[in-house]
Amino acid sequence: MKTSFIGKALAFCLTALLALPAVAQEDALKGYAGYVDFGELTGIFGEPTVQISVGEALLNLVGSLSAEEDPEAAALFTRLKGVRVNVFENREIPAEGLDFVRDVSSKLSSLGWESVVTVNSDDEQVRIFMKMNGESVDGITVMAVEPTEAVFVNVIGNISPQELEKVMDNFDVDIQ
Amino acid sequence: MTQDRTDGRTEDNGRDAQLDALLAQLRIEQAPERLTRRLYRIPQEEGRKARRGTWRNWFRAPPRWALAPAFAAVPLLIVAMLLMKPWQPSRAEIEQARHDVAVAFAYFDRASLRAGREIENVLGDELRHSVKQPLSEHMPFTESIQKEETS
Repeated sequence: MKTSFIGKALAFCLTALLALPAVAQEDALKGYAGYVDFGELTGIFGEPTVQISVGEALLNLVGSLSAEEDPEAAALFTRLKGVRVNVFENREIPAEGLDFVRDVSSKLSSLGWESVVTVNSDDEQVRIFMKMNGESVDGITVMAVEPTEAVFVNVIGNISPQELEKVMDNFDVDIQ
Repeated sequence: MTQDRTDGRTEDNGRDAQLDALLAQLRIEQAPERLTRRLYRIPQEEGRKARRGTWRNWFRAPPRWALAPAFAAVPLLIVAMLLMKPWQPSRAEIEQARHDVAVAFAYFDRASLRAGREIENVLGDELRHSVKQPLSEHMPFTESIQKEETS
């Protein structure tokens, strides 16, 4: 009995230690103007099928390492502070999901985010927001909720849509 | 009772006087020089031993109560060292980060494309509607074309 308790305690400590970097990553990104607090996504959509959180240090390294093969992407990476993705696929998205997007949208508008694209159909909500800082961009956020899928993307850092298009052509990623 | 006490005191005084007289008769003998030197050396040697003892105490077994915090300090020290160590991601981690960013942008792109398509659909219908409606009001033949299109 005593051993099992010690085992549980050790497992808890190990889990806590492993979770520390992810938590620290999110905390480090919270300080930026381009960060979006989506709130409790798991409470509405369940466990994400894709969850990505890449911080500034790693993005800078990726940028400096890909400087030779893809200078445009490298330049973009070095200006990025963080990239966060939460995808909820292959499940029935509850009606609250659509309300959630509306709530977050109104919160973002009150925080000075500019709405770039809004799609309001019966079963689909798409929002693209940009946080401007004079001429430069602090962050871009995409929220797309459909009957079977919900996607939340937050790109923190100075990025322009034209630049993004160029970089996207160089990436060979199929997410369909 | 009082008589007994005074008798006892006079007896003690007598013995003290005797002892003093005997001590006065004793000759003061000088201790051998080697012994005197050794005696003088004792405080120095004891001091050295005491100083050496403080170092030896370090290597003695610590008290049991000190073991618990000592064991607790070891993992803390390891964690602190790991946290203090400058982080250097591996090649695999960098590749993973590159892939993650590509996936993030792909989702971003997909959402933008879908939104674009939706806007195009809505705008296309609306534009067609807003152009055809006034035309059919003024030119009757456009109405028949519209009917054909819908049928």
